[in-house]
Amino acid sequence: MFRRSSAKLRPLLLAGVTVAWVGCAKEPARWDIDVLAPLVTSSMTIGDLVPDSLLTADADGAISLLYKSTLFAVDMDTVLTAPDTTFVYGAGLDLGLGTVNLPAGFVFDVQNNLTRFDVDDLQLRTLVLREGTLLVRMTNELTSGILGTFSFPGASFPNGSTELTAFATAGSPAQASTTVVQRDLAGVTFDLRGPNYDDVNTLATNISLVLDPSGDGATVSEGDSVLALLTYSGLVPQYARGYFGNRVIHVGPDTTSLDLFSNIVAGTLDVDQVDLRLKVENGLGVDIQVALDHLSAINTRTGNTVDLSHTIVQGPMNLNRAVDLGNGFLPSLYHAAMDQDNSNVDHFLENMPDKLGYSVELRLNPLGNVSNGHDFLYYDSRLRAELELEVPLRLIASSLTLEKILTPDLPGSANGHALISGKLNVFATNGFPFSADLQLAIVDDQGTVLAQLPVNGSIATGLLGGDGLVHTATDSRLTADLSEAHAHLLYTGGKLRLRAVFNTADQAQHVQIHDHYRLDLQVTAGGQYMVNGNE
Amino acid sequence: MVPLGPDSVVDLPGRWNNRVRLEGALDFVTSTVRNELPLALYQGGYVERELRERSADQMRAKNTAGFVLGARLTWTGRDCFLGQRHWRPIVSVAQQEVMGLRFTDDLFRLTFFGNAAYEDRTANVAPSAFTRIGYRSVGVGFMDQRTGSYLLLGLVQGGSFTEVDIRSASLYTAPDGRLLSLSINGEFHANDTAGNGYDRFNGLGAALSGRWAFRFGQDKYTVAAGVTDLGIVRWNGNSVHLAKDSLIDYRGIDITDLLDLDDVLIGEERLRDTFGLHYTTSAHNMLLPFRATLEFRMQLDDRTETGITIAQRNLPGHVPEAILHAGRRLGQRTLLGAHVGYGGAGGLRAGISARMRLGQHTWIDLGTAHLPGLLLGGARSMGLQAAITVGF
Repeated sequence: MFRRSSAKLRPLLLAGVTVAWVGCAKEPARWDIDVLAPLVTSSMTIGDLVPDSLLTADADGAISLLYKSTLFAVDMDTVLTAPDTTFVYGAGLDLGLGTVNLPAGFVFDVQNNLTRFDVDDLQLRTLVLREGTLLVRMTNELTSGILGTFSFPGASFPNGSTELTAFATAGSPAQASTTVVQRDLAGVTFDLRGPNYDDVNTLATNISLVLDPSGDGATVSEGDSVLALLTYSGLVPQYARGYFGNRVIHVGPDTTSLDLFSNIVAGTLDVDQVDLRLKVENGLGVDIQVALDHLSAINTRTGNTVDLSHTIVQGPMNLNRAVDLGNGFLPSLYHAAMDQDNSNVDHFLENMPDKLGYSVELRLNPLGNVSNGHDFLYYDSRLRAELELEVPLRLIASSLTLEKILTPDLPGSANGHALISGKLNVFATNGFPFSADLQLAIVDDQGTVLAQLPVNGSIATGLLGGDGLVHTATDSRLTADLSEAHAHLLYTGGKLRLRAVFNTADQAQHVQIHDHYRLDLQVTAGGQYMVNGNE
Repeated sequence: MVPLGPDSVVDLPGRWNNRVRLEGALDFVTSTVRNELPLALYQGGYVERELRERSADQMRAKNTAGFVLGARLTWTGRDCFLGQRHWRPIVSVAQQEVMGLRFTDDLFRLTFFGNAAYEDRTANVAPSAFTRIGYRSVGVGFMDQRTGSYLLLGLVQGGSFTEVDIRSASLYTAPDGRLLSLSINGEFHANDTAGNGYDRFNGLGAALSGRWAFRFGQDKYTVAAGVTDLGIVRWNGNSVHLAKDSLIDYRGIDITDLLDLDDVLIGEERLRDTFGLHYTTSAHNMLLPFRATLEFRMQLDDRTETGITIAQRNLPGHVPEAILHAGRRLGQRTLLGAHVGYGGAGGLRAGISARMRLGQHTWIDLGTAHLPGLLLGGARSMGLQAAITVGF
């Protein structure tokens, strides 16, 4: 009968394994240890919570928030757009003439044309181009070469010339010859008043078609023709002057994003004072009447919308035209100031919008052609409306919740967890006049909560003195437990959602934030760690 | 382990012109660590906490450990080498992996259990030292078959090494882990990190092995002094080096945006920056872990001998080892030996060995440096040696 004792066999097995030492493939040894160590320290002032560029401080250190955002902008190309345009000029033997022999150098055709540009309701007198191209395409059915000369008496080219020539070689009715000539129009000035300077949008174009003077002439029959296509394309005005019409331009309804409250996901904010300034800059040489149909604060998270109530949405704003300096312009400025006394701007802001909705109607030349055709614009002329928000950080916050999604870089992998479980300790020394509760959860990519991490404790508010200022910082401690299951969720794609819920110390009175207030934090961790757990 | 002494009846020294011997040895020595722990580390996988705690319970303030793992192939030629009648030529190639370790109780516990148990306490992790080296050698020389004296000069190819010397160090863990205060004065060397293969010469050196034996009293008494692998290796210029003599107070990584924690948790590169743990590279000279011996043998009768050997190895944690040994011939083919020793990197050890001649040309040697290590689960230290010799 055998009796086996595993304890007695073990040493022999030990020897046997030892003998088979070399050449055995093996995984690395791993073992769990209990670690206790600091993770991070941080010291925050209000400048660390809100970008410094948005903050100002007075002599006492009281902080104000200054936030700027462009409401809408109308560029030059909304007022004036010069479409690509092709003009066709043709010349042929008149019917009834039969066949004629024409000598070399014969002037086949001469035309003095007026080219009219279609620019909607605008009546342009002067157009200086920043960009553009003139393409001349000449098709010749005659049996002699044709020299085409195109002159623009109303144009002024940078090189001083007002002519463009093109030569098409001899062709035939069955096989016409074609030539293409391109001219860059950058820097060209067009006088669009026509040859008698009493018109608008009109450019004189003179065309001369001559048989090749060095050729042999040509026998021309009825129907033989020469065709010239002049195409103006890619026209971008550098400067335009004329009368831009009495018309309406609609802007919106549209929205613009606001990121000031992008991290706030819950809670209420009560501000003591709000100043909202609307600044409109008119860089166009046109009188404009701006009718702001509505300006709304939209919070897509709560679904609430607050429409601004102020005179600027009740009646139009009249903008003077910019001043033409000859080689530039001086924009006109319009200001409107809103505060809690003349509007509902405090409720507007306390809605904590992530979008601003607006609809604007721009009426150009509401009184007609009062400039007598001296409306103007430059390439960088634009109409721009900007909002400037100034809020002294004197407020009441109730469960104001900031949220951040973190993807911690944990040692190991989904198959080999180095971190098994742990406990986070948060030590806070709070000199701000608000308390904070921390909420931790593990979420998936869609934000669905997979697990809640229990957090014990909260960050107490700094102690307010009778003057409403914090004179004594308070110490607090929080703990959060991370179980093995929680750790597994983080390793398998889960993200850590951190929410901080703020409540100001005095819910009945607004508290002022000062630049010297600080919050010192230290996070330590105690947990179970697997050595070589990531192998 | 002490090899069995020569015996003309078993060894038949005059019968062969050439002798080839292949031997391998594993010797693990420790003052406190139970064998089950290094075995579990070697086998891999999860090392049970209870297993670690059993070794931890036996820790003292200062603890030692070491191992030798080697193999050697030796050819001994016929006599009349270099005109000397009793001299025989020797060529030997060997592969050695040697380690010595000196550590404190706290260092063991920090390593295998973490620092949480040291909350509001200071762990003393020094003086501690660790040396591990793997190398290959090729040697040529000769031996005097009358006395067993020999001289071998060898070329050494350094494979890999790690050398840590912590002269003083302590780690304080504040309550709740709010502060880690590390005081350390130590040095670290290691070989080129590019690889350790047989085709790599991370280091090159030379070594001398030899034994001088003197017989007197009509060959009844033998006194011998010997050394194995007395030499030096110069490791190449890509060997890494780190020296630290500083006090580090760590309160966590300082960040400006507490909400931006994505990269905070245990980023190795960031921790290295925080603690200033960046290596430099340079060549490094290192003494080989040579072993020196002094022995005295006495022949009691024509079958029995006894003796004492004092040995010392150049490794951390090693102190001189004294070994009492005895051997007896049984019949015409078998030698048996036993020994008791104390010192080295461990405590008391007791081993046995045997040599058996098979036929006229083949000998088998087997032995263990510590027999309890093979029989008892809770033992400390163990060793095995085996050799086969063919004479022709």
